[in-house]
Amino acid sequence: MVLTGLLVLLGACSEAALGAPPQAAEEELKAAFLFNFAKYVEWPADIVAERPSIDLCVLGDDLLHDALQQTLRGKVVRDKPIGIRRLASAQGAAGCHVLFVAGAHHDDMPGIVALVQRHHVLLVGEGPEFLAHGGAIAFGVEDNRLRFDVDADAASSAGLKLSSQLLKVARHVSRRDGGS
Amino acid sequence: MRFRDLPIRRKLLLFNVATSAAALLLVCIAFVFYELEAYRREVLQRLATEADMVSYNIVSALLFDDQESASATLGSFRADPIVLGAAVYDDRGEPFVAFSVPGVSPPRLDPEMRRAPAGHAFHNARLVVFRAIESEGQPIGTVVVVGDLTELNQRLLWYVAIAAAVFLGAILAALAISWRAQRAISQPILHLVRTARVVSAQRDYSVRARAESEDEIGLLIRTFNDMLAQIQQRDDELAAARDQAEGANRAKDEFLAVVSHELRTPLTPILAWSSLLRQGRLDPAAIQRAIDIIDRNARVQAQLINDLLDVSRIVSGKMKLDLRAIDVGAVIEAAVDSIRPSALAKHVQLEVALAPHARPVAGDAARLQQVFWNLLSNAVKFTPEGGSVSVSLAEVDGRVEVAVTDTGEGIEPAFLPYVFERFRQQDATSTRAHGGLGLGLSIVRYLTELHGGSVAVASEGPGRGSTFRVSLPVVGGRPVRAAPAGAEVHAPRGAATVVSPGLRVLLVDDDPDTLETVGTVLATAGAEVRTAASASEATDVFEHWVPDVLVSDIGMPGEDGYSLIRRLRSLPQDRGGRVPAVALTAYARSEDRVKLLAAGFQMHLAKPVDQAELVAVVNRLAGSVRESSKPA
Repeated sequence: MVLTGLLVLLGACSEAALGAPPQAAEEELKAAFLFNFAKYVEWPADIVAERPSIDLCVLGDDLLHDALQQTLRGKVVRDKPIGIRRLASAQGAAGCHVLFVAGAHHDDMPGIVALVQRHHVLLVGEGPEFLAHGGAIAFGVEDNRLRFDVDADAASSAGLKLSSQLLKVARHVSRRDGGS
Repeated sequence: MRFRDLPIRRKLLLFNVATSAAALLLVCIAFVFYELEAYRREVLQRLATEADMVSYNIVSALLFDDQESASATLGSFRADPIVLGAAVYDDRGEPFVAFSVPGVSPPRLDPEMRRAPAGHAFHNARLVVFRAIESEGQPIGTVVVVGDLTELNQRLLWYVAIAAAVFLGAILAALAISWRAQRAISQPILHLVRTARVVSAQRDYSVRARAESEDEIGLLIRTFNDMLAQIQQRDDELAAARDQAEGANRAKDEFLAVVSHELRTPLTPILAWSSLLRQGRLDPAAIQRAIDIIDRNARVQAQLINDLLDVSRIVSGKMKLDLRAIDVGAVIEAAVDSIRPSALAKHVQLEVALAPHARPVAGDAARLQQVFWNLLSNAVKFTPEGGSVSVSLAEVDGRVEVAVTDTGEGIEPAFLPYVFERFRQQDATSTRAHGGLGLGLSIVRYLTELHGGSVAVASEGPGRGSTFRVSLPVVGGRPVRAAPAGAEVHAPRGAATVVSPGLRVLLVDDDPDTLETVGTVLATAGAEVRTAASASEATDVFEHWVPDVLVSDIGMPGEDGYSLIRRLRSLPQDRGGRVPAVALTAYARSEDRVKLLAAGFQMHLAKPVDQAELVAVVNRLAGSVRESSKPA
């Protein structure tokens, strides 16, 4: 991946002693993952067709928003340009395709989940507890590498289908029947 | 041994085997190459498919930096035993994941692999296949896999082994087949060769080769047989021609022996009796008999020579006829008259039965008389004392038929076909009972055919006589009974003729005997004869004595008769320039006669000359001169 080498390079040179990747590199990685998620998610057909762009929205993480702006400007997914928005509140999430919710907004999750399920938004957050709040994908760091877990039921509740290719590279996939 | 000297069957065998071997070798090489290529394609196809799958399945792992998952995906290559190693490089050319069998390093990324979406390369018994990994149309990495082609080399050995086995088997099969097949070609040729050897060694041209096929070899054998047949035929013809030539040669030798014998026989009585006459002790009766004997034998010899001359004319095609309408009956009578004395002497009865009103034939009376005289003379000769000879004349179907039948000794049936052949006599041995040259009947046949007629012989066999039939075509017109024209040629023998008393005759001849003999004849006839032994002597005589008739020889030493007559003809008339001249010469051919007459002679007499004829001719010439000069 584009950023892997950078990550390895940075990790080896400066922050090797730290338990987590450096901030800037981690935001960029997350930005790349968000973009890649968009490749493996299947929205209902009208959600993609009616809108001019695939919109990635960020709630409560300006660093990530900036990283998105820097690394994804002009990129295309499924023949549509990527759109990047910073949301002040969850209310603006109706027109998003992917919504990243920072840990600070976990308390608003019930409202957000209800909203995004209506509007078929892929809900991405951080930490194992994010899935418990009703998110679909949650980032996590393991062995100094950025990984992610998936709650397939949450995704399908929002009317989204996740590609098996995506599920294959997820660290953990939870389903209602308990399979992983 | 060179190839060209090999037996044909070896050549055929070699041809077949070499052809088969060449074809098989090509097929085997093609087989090996095809199999190798097919195997390479198969391996390439396999690796390419696997690389395609990996490059598709590994996209998400690469996107999400999941080496674990990428390793698992790459691990699908491990199932393929020919894969030595595989590696995935990210879009910057950095290794992402890799694996390889022990002892082999994972494939490296060549710079050109990043520029092409797919490709492969064979080298060093390895196949390297690479595929670009793409996401959303963008290259995000490359998968490279390297396969082991050493199995290819093993397969190659295996293929070569199979090809060699097939090749050997096929060559053996080709040998077996062509061993059988070449016999079809070589056997007939060998048979032909053996036949040719037999023919060549034994000179036996009756041998034939068997032709069992209709192909070129069959044609060759048939042609060979045809050639043998032609050689055999030519051989037979040569043998026949040789036999014929030898026969003809023998006949000629015998004929020469007969000629010399026949010419010598009359000489004995002539010499004996002339010797007795010279002794002068014979009484008048004996003298008369001596003269008769000498005369008869000289005539026999003259007849022999005439026959020889006739044959010579016949052979050279110079025999000419003086054709007139003549009465055959009269000619037969003349012939009978001339044969009668010898018939009487031998007590052979002559019976003549002539149809009275036969129509005339176109003929030369002298020659026809010769024909009948020959037949009659033969008949009398071969008829024993007390026998009879009959001659008949009849007109049958527009032809005059003359039959001469005798009661003589007849003819062997085997000799009948040869009766009319020249030089052929039934008995040519020196002990034969009858003289003669064997020319008479050949002259008879020739002259008869020259008259447009034919002659045939029939005989019941030895001792039963024979019959000769001459058939001549008649000419239109009434029956005639003309005097035979030949009568004036064959003047009555021994008839003493006289010339005008005192007729002056100059006789020129280099032979003293001839001078004396002829001179005596003419003098006896009443002429005044002078003689000259050469042309110049004759010219001298003319100086003071111009004769009424000149009788001159032709062949003389120094100046010949031609020169003499030309010189005399250049003299004025009163000096004898127009004196009638008779050539008396042994040059008896017709061209000699023409030449003589052209040179200035009025007449030609052949030696030996009949006395009466000589006198008659001299008389006639003197008379014509007298008649022509009288008015002048």
